[in-house]
Amino acid sequence: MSDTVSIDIAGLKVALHTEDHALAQRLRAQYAGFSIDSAEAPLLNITITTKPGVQFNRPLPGSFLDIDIQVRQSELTFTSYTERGTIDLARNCSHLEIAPNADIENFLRVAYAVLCLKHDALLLHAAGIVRGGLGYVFFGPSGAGKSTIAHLSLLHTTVFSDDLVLVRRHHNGFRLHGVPFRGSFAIGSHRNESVPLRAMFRLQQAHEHSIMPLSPAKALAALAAATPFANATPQTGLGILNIAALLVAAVPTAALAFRQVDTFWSVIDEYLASQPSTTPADSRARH
Amino acid sequence: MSISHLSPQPHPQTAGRVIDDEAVLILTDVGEVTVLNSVGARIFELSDGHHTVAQITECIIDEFDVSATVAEQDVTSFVESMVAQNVLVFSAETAQ
Repeated sequence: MSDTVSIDIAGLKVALHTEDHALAQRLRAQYAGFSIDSAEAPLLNITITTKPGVQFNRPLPGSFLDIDIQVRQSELTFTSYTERGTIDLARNCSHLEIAPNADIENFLRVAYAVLCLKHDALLLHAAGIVRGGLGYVFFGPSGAGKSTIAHLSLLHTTVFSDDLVLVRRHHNGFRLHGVPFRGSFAIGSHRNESVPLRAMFRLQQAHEHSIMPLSPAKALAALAAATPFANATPQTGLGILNIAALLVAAVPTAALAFRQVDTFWSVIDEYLASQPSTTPADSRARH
Repeated sequence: MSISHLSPQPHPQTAGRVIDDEAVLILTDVGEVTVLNSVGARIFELSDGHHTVAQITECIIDEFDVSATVAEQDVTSFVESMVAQNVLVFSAETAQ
């Protein structure tokens, strides 16, 4: 008999079905903060089958992670060393085979990245920080300083994540959402909460703090580069550009050069004081 | 060989969007994201498989402060470069 674990991230409900009850228990514990009693009309049904002894993709030499993603028409296929799955984007159904004790998180990230595009949202490789009830997103390539910014901010803010956050357009503007996904060395509360999104910054480490505005196109390009799986297909790429265009039109987006002290927040405050406020009043919400 | 009679259009593996006079392109087959300036964005926008390179050049002369000679050289060079990078392809109808 199948067991179902339902989760809700940023209002995007997914149902995980499996006959492996030990796996179901593990998933409930792993996604405890984001699980719901039952998802009526989930946006995606993922049927998970445990297969002893399987190895789908041989990892590359020197790599501990090797994921292959292909999209043909409406079906996405995902293969890693311990997981192989498909997502039918038209029918909102998905099948996943995993080795015993394999973690489904990489597959779930891909599933959510795809779901986001259909629901005015983006999953971003970024640090997400809540300060004064408002959300700040810091993004950039590996080494740009996402974890550094998060560490520097731990004392006086709530860090949702230093690795992965979700932003979604709601009727009253974009909100920053916590996600349960953890990077290899991720810190952060991974809270199932959301706050109005105040600003986004492309990071660059420097000797002095400074903020430079980004043109809408450069902001879009930087966001697209920070979006996992942006380059999977032209369709996903266009979906990301369209949502990112709405995002940069609604939320101040700039380049932040910073040195490794937490005084960068005063530079941000000064910059934003000169920008029109686009966020509603503080309204932290749990989803 | 002159390409003035050919009509460029976006490569099937390219996603692009023009925003505030610039263009953002995602080149999915190489996993790169790039930004074009206002002239490049306008050429990309006009590369719809119907406008020929000659017609695109005329538009650029009309809309930007540039001489016909420079525009012809620059548009041709830009389109050739975009085709080489799989950002644009020539429409099959005109390439035959």
